[in-house]
Amino acid sequence: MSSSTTDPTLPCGAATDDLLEQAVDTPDAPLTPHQRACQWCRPTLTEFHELFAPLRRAVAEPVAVPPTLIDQVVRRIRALVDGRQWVAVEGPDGRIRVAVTIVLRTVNRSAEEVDGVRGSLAALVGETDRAAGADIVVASDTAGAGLSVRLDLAVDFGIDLHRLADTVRERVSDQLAASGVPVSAVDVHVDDLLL
Amino acid sequence: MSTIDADPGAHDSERDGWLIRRALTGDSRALEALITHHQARVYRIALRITGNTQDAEEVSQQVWVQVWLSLAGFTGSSAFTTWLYRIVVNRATSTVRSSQRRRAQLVRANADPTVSPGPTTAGGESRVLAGERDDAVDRALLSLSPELRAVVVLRHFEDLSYDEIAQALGIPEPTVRGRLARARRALATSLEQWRRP
Repeated sequence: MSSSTTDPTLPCGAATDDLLEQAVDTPDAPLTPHQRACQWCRPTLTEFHELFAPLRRAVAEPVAVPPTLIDQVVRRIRALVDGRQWVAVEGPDGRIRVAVTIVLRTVNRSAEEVDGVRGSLAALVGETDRAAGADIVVASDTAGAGLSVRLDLAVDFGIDLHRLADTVRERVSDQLAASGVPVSAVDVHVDDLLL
Repeated sequence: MSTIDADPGAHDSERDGWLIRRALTGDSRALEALITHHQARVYRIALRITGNTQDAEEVSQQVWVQVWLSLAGFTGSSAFTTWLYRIVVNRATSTVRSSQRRRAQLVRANADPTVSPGPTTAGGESRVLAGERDDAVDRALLSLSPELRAVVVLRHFEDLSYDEIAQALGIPEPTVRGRLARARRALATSLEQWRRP
């Protein structure tokens, strides 16, 4: 093992821990005048920098989150709150059931992609009126028979709300339609203005 | 050093505040939105501290259940993310300690000739992570105590300042500095061993 990682101080008096902190914590910080001239500090810093290269690589490497994890977590939370709900899309070849959580997440994501939208909470209008456990049935090929969606938004202060609402409606409708779920109405409620 | 964040809006504290206000009114959609925005971060931290994907997934779920159940106690005196960091670190370090105790019990049981060892399940954290990514950094991290691992993860992988780590863990900043210094020394020793076996 190198003595530089075990000795508390270098022959020049510099603390090894300080050099280690500098090399790991602020690797791009400029050397002090002493470090630039010191025959002990410079190679030690270089050694520490090389030693921790694998750590820097690991930090830069994205961590793959299991794609189903958010669903698992949401299901667990929903089990605490209420039951599982589904949207059923009737088509010529049969019925496709999509979890309401998936539909709402798609809606929220679409809305949050619009400039000025900081947060979005989607709900299906009329969802609470139907019998518990029954599917929300929509037809894939009948105009006006799609889902009705309500969005509560937190948006940037000072933004043109009418234009924002139009853009959100268009984005949400297009995204859901592209996923095979028709939309008949998107009600936009601005719940908060954020600075 | 900072990680790539999958959610560009993950650091919007005002958005989080709005969602928490909504969640406190019983709006479960708001909690789901918080989960969507912060899940990647929760999982990353849990994975780095526990060292295996199975525990990290379980910790992630426990964290959000705890957030949901104790949201009313969130005073807002600190950022939501600070509060979240504390919950995930506590859950993850607790999981690591439980795993260590279970392994120690298994080792003691196996050492006792009067006790049947039962089926062997190689569930050790180092085995799982090493199997997934044969990486000296992972092994060096796993050689640290959970407390030291946590400060390294928050500082170097999540790019928190010393002050933010102190707030998240509820410890003084000098303690954070001390733990990081010890962790860096230990990591240097481990990494050097892996470099020059």
